[in-house]
Amino acid sequence: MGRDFVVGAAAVALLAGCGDGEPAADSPAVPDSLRHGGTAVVASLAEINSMNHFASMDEPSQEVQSFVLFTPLIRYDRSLAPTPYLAESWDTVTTRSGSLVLTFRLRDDVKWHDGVPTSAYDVKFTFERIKDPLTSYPHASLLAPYDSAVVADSFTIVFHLTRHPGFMDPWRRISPMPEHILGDVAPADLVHHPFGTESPLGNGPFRFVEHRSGDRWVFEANPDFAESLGGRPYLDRLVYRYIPEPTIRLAELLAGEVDVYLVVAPDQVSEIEARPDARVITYENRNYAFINWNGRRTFFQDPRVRRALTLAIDRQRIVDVARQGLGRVAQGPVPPFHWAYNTDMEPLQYDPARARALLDSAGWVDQDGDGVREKDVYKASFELKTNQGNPTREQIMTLVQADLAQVGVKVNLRIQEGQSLRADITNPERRFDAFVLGWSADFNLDDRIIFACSQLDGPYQWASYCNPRVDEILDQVAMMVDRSRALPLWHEYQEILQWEQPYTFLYYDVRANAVRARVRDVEMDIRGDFVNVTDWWIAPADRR
Amino acid sequence: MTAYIVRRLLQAIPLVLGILTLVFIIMQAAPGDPLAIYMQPGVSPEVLEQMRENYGLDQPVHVQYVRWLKTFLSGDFGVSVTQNRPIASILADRIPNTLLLSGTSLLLIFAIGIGLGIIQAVRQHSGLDHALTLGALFIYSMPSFWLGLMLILIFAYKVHFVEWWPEVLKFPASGMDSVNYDMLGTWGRFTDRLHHLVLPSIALGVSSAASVARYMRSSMLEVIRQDYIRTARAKGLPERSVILKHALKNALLPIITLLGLYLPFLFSGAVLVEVVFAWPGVGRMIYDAVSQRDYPTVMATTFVFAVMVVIANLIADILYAAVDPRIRYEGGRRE
Repeated sequence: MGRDFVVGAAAVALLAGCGDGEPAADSPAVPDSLRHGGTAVVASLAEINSMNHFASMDEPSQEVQSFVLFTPLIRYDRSLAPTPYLAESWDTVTTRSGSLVLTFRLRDDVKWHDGVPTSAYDVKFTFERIKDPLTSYPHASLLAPYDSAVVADSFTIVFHLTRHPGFMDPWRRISPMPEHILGDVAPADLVHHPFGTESPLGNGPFRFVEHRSGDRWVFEANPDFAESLGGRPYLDRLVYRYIPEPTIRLAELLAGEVDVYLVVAPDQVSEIEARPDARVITYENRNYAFINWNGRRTFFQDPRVRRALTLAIDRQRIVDVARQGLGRVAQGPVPPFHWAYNTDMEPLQYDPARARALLDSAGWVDQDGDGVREKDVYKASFELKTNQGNPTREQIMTLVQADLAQVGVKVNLRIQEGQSLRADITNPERRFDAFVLGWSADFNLDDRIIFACSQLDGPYQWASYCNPRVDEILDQVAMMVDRSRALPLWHEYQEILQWEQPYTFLYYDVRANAVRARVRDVEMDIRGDFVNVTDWWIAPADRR
Repeated sequence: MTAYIVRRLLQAIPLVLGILTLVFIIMQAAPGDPLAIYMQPGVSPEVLEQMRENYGLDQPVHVQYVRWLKTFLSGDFGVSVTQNRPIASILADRIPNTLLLSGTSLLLIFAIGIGLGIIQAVRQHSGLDHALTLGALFIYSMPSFWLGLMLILIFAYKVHFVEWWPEVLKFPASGMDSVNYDMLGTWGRFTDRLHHLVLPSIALGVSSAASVARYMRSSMLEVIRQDYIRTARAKGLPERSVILKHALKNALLPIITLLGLYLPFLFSGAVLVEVVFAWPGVGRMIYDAVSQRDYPTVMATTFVFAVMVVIANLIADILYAAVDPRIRYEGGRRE
């Protein structure tokens, strides 16, 4: 282990023409044929429980499934447009009644790791089980607009669906499951089947080797992976380790035991960047942090008050302090990766003077000189909650409390256990004043569950926000396939929300991952951390 | 003796049942929902309802309790809501890991504790005695997870910057074995496991070792003052024989009681150490299950803990009786 450490450091020192540790410049020096081999270890804070797609609802599981072990029908390219993967090509036909007929033609050279070819029957089987309520697939709503699937021949499958934007997105996430293994299992038993945890069978660039519960997943290269999809990956083995303690993940990375450290804490970034043998990859992901104001509370009912609160909070300082710069001040619920992100708009600037003026005009004035504003019998005071175990959010809370005290609003902080906080906020009585949490925006964005009047009794309408025009817009864009027609509506939606501020959108998240220099050509972006895992390689001298 | 063991085991049954019922009540009373992790945007309420039905969570509490008790007693531990696996197979994976860690820790505790205790007793009031007392108190005050983090920082990270530090003393920061474990030979695997066991066992055991050393010291001091020790010395026996053969056996009696007391703490302390060292054991499993309100897993793991504690206490009592000829549980008759 120590020897490799020295060798690795020497290799990097020799190739240190690249000042930032970026190894891409020396890639041509090692020819393709010599790149095969080596083991890469990935450490993460998220435990992956199952390779059974029907049982998975968390991002990390789905990522490893779709990039490592299985082959979804399509992938996204850098511009987030669908590109062929398991499906060689597809076409759509709009019927007279307005619905869509989507035909996928699959490749014929992708085989399950036991030799059986992957066919349209596997896709149909997966589709039917997902639609079956007995399976209780968590994201069944992904395929709600899809009505039926028909197998035209072994490698052609035809879907009938209602025309809607983003209809290709489910096929990026869904990994077809092997019909010849799971076909006879009753839907209600699918989720618990040992296939997911003890003997998964995939058809992707890596094969399953071992799963140690609570510890690791081990995959090895599939030598028979379809050449048309890239053939055998360079790495011999890929190990995914679950390490819950962030200090330990850092220690293992720096000691050389772990090659890729996913989700680096902001305060660890500088320590990793200071080393020549590791680099930090950052990219804007789909998450954003926000403060939710409970629209049922008197204080938060006036949009002027909510706007004042946003103006009074120095969000750039929050990004600088709580995230060490890993974030971008947010302007609304549509993050920058989305095609409809309003580039003509700017986030509200930090302006406590204007905030004070707004609060005055809304009738909230400090009458008794105690530093806290009042109106009638109500005080400008509320309880701000967040979940425990997240140091970033705790810092955000403290900064918000300090900022709002400057404009005469008193904030009491409360850190609550995760589950009980969740129970409080999803409860129809909305047992909270305000809270700080994060949200993950889908590629196929549908904000109706958080902002539509029709969802006021649902579990996610935390702001109790109701604006009929917003409902109208969101209902319309959910059906508009033509982006140029939908764009003005999306812009209007973002402008309305900036005016009304049902949430204070704090910042768009920037994700940081750390990679040791010995693993070359690692690229990560919003599509996933494993997006080019088949291209990762380790030079012969650096292998363990 | 056999009758005693059987009686003790029978007494354990209502005890374990009582513990399980209590845990069930507390879990149900706590706010939160095992399906909360599935309650995400994009997951429709119908899906959650179906899951609730599949797991039997829509039944009233007393019905759930009786159903669960019935399946449990027939050997079926149920399925984990969060991991979607039969709990029995998860436990089968994890229990050996915790036993390995706790067992090694136990060995360490008693080896170090007894050794240091003897040294301190024999060299009472010397400089060494004072230094060891100070050290013991210092370490005893440290929480195990902090100690674990410090050990990792020093022995798994900082030592890489010290050139002359021997390879074998550079320990791994986490996990049970190396990534290439299955490619090693038998000897390689054995040493790899041992290598990974060192830091966690020390973190888990060292503070208990310090207190065992204190007990051992005072016990030895008391025994050394006895008349029969003076007789042994007067007989001309070598000092080593006097201490290690005659004094030690009698001084060990309170230590054996300690064994029974320490075992449960080893399992609960293991939770923190397991989290810090990413050790895939039962302690961490129950911690995750409680946070996620995975009721079946919490119940099954609590049951396992309770059984382990009862057995540990029973073993301690038997050992005590075996070691001390004055103690017989049948009321004075020698077996």
